[in-house]
Amino acid sequence: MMRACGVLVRHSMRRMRTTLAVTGLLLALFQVLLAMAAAELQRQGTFEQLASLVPLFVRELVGTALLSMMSFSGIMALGYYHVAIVAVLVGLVVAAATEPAAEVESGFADLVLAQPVSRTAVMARSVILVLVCPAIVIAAMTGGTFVGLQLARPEAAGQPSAGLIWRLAAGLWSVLACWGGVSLAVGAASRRRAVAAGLAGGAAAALMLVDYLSRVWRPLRGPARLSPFHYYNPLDLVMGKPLPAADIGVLLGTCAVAVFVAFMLFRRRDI
Amino acid sequence: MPTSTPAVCTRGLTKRYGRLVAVKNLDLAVEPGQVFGFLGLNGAGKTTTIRILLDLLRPTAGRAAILGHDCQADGLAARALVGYMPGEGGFYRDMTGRQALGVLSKLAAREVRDAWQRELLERLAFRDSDLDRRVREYSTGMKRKLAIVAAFQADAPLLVLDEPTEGLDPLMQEACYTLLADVRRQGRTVFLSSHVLSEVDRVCDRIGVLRAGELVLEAPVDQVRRMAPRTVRVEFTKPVPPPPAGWPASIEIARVTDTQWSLRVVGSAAPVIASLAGLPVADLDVREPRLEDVVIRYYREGP
Repeated sequence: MMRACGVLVRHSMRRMRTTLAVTGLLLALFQVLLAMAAAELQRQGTFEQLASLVPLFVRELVGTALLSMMSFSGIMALGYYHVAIVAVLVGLVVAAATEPAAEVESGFADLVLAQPVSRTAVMARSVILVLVCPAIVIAAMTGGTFVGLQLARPEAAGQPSAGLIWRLAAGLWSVLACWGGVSLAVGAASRRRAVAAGLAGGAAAALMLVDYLSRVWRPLRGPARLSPFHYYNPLDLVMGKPLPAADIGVLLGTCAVAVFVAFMLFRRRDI
Repeated sequence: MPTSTPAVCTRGLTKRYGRLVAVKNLDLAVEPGQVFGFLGLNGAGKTTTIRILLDLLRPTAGRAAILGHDCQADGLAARALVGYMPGEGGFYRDMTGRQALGVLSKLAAREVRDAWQRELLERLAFRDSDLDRRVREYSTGMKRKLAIVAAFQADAPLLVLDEPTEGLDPLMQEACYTLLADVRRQGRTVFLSSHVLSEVDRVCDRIGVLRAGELVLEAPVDQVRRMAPRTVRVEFTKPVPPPPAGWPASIEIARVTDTQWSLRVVGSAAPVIASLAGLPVADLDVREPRLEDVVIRYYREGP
């Protein structure tokens, strides 16, 4: 099984390499530009001015987190939680996770599974992709962050620590791994990639929205617990809190359960 | 390599999709070394059976085995012995032909010999430059040729081919028949589904006909052909009396004139020949029965 899984991983990585390289480079470049912009704001002392421009009701809603956002570290963290970037990364894991559905749709699964290749090997390949692809892109982002800090040379007092950057990266990766697992379960049961990706991507967008709204609208706080994004609070990390083990446990536990479900579905289904 | 274990064996194989029965209680045994033609109209259950053999579909009831290995319980061992050509699709459009063959050869149980792969490509008129093009640029025929190479390249003891010559030009069909003949000479088994009865007549040793999921006929091709009447046409130089009344039921009179008899004969034509003694025969034309004469009847009416 290991040999077949290795062949399939290499095959899939070869097909995804351009997407991975372009996404990683763009996000790394974004981090470099963000660091340079934040350093400029810091040199001009405009963080306090920016904070004062925020309407009072927003300040009351966001509370002390606003001060964290309006700091060098807060701006640097933006790349790890901005909705557009998270959406791109979710799109990447959904694409990786729905490869089994694409293979069933194209008939490539027939050719692969007509060889002495187990369905477990096919799914193991997808689990590896779901975990490794976001890790590669986030590693590129993290690299971009460090390069940006080197180039921008901010004042030492406001500079985010390496620990904070790793915690942000680890938190973001955990959310993506969680959603990758769920998407894999959807992809394992589907015959069409568009259907699987639409379901997984649409659900991610809805759950992200629920999580955002729950921060300002109390009745949504209960349902927001179903959203994986609820368990990733980058501003808490910027404010100096540690990466909550319980939240990471929920995310990785959900990933593990979803992956188990995906294996079961794919083993039992008709191709 | 003669062995008593059937190359393909199914017992009570059934596949239902809700109320639709795609394959019903199928009992089949294909001996090693045979080229077995699996026939039936669209939707008869041919591809479903093939997909169960490859464990792509799970049977509702019954079992299937390849060279003694249960297709579901021991599927990896069973599929290690198979080279498969699907009826359609299969390759990612953004892969080159070379990449597609490369991935499949790495997944195969047997090492793919470069020399054999090259020979296959040459025999199917596949150029090196074709291999480096993406599959989306291939014509239907080229995709089929790539699928043939993929199925044959690992020298599997059993080839499962789903309509192998569909979409091929006549030259490539000929190349495919030659490949099948070579495979048969090597003692390997071929299980092929086809709509082209002339092709089946030419390459198969034995056929099975599926109708609405049920096996309605399984027999050697020669025997099936003999189930159809030969057409015998006799022309006379001058008017003769009508044929005698005492012929057996296996001889049917189709049309009779003063100078011509058209007859349909199943089995021995001896009574006809005996009746011609002393008559002024100008010409005798015996047309051999065709496989389709029988198979089409089974398609329409069943057993």
